[in-house]
Amino acid sequence: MTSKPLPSLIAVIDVGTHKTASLLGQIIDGKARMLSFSERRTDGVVKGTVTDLEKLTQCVHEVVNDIERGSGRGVEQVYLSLSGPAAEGERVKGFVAVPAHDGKITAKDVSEAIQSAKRLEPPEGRATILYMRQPTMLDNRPVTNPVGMAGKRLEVNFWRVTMEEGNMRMRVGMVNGMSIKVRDFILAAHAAACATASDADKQGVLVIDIGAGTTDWILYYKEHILCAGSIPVGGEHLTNDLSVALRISRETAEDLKLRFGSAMHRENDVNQTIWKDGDKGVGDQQFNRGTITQVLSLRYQETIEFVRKDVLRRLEAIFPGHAVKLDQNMIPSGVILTGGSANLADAAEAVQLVMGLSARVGIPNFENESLRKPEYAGVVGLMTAAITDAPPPVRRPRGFLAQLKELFRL
Amino acid sequence: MGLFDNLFRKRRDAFLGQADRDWRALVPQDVNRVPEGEIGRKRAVRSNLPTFLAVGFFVVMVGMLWWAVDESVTSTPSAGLLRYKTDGFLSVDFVKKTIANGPEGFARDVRSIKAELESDNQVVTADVRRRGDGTLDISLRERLAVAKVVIASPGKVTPMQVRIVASDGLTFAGAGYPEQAVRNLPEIADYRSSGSDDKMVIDGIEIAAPFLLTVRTTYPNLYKQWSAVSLRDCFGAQEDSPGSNLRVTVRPGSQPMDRPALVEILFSTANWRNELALLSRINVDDMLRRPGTTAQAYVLKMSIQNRTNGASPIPEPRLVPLTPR
Repeated sequence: MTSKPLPSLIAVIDVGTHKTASLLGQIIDGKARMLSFSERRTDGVVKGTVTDLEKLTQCVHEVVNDIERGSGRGVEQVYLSLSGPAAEGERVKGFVAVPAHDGKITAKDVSEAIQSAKRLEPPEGRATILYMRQPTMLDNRPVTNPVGMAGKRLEVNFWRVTMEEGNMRMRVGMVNGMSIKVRDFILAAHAAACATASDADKQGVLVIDIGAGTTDWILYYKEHILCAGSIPVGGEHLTNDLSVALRISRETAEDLKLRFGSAMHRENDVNQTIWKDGDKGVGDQQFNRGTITQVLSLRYQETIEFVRKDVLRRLEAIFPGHAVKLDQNMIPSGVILTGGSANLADAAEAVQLVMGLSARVGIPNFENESLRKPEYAGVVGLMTAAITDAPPPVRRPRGFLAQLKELFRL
Repeated sequence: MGLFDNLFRKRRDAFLGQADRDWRALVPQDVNRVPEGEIGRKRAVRSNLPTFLAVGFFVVMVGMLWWAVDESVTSTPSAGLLRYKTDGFLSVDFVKKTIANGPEGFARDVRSIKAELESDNQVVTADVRRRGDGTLDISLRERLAVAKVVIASPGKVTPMQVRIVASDGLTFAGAGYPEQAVRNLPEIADYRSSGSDDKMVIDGIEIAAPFLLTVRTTYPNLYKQWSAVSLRDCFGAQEDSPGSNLRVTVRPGSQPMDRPALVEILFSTANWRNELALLSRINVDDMLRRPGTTAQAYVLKMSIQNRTNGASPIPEPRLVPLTPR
């Protein structure tokens, strides 16, 4: 995150495969009060990858215009969400051998360890987007704040998110094209977690944000991000599968998915016949609900399985040689599902079945009732993350002498 | 980060290794260029509209203020870097001319300007100040005119020269005085003088000037009716001399036609204050309409003293038919 203090107005833009949402909030006593919200269908993005920049720029500009008109305030900088395969995450670590003879850690030691971690270059052609703090280890023991403690080896860890440089330039340029600055990027899954998971949940929780084109996930352990990832499968694949299986248009398939779909296939679904329009008139079609739930549940559970495998793969990369298991001990708060596809019936049950963990659909914690839906966890979470991740406000010293001392750091 | 940290911290590439690939370092955000697309441009215009309006409003306000100040400056009798004020009639040209007498012009020392202005008999005091922006602030207090004298100047272009007599007896040219104002002033007649122009000294003016000043300020209605004051019988320093008097000629146009005219009023030089007070109380019109006032013109002698009661003499006004001299 940027080290600048938080502005009083925060604008966030969540660019998804299916929709682009923007929220403008005013910060009062550390809480966001919604001033304006806008949502438009995204054009030019397929599976989280930009395919038509002009259309996407038009879409982003329209949502910014909407929130400016809605609030009567001008937007000068925005937080952008970062999701999909464009954002790659990896763990970086830096360490120092404690130089003090008594082994006491100073703030300078911590700073040096952080610098040593950040000194590691990202892969060729990629730009560092953000660093997210992971547990600090002192002589292989996790500590929250090592300053003042005694030890020999201090190790700091970060989850570093990188992005292909051209992609990053394109996104920044898209926003700059409206005379708006990008204040920061926020990982979409982290944003979803900020909106739906409490600090207690973050002792061990897996947040899965199933969007239209991609599924982003993030794993928290002991209140820190352990790892995060994304797979290019989402709700649109469910629709696509249904469209192919039933030989119907994507619009009809989307409609049936929302009305009759389920992430679990049950035996009695086979006995149910459903009508597309419901009036049984000319042009109306009948379908077997069992077919619909079977197609959807297979793909949904497969998606969750992909996530599970991706989580395990990441964990094994972080802890090589260790047998990693996703169980209740490691993830006591289970799985939180967010995103538009979390609205599918029995979604939590399906996740529970695949993951073997408790699961629930995450409702974003926000003052505005209309945004308390899983599909808005991303945009609400961006606002929450912008506030919670911002550095504490700097208290200016009072008096001339105090300010002079502050200036010269006497 | 403190000032020293900013100035003397280690170079970023030396401290962090190879320049890190932070997105902020890679993409310097340039948001000042023209926004792309129609929506972007509209947004930029709309978001800047309040600023434009505020700037426009400010410019209009400053313009109006400038115009108002400019108007107020031009309406005062000043020009250039000069603010001028007077309680009399001297024009700004006179002041400019005085300032321009020195080689430095407006840069002249204010004390020399003051001295030169005050050297003119018409000016009592001159307050000359220079402001921070170089503007000369000049405020004049002029002498109060109580009468005029007509001087015969043989050999000059204008054979008759009119000078104004101030309340302290000094005379001056009366620059800037309107013609009407000069005409209304009573004339000092039958005087003897020495010197010329500003050095002119009129015998007996030390009595006549206070007399006229008192009439002008205390009895303005009487003053308006007087056309001349003759110093023929005024003996100056010997004001207590018997027969020393001030002969005042009354304007003929200020009197009704249906009664005899009052042509002159005689005040004694020693007791004119009491006589003026008495004159303001008596009804001269009634006196002139009394039976027995058969002459066509009369002289009111205020200087005749009643000595019958043995106490200090009191003025006893008496109408005397005018006798041709």
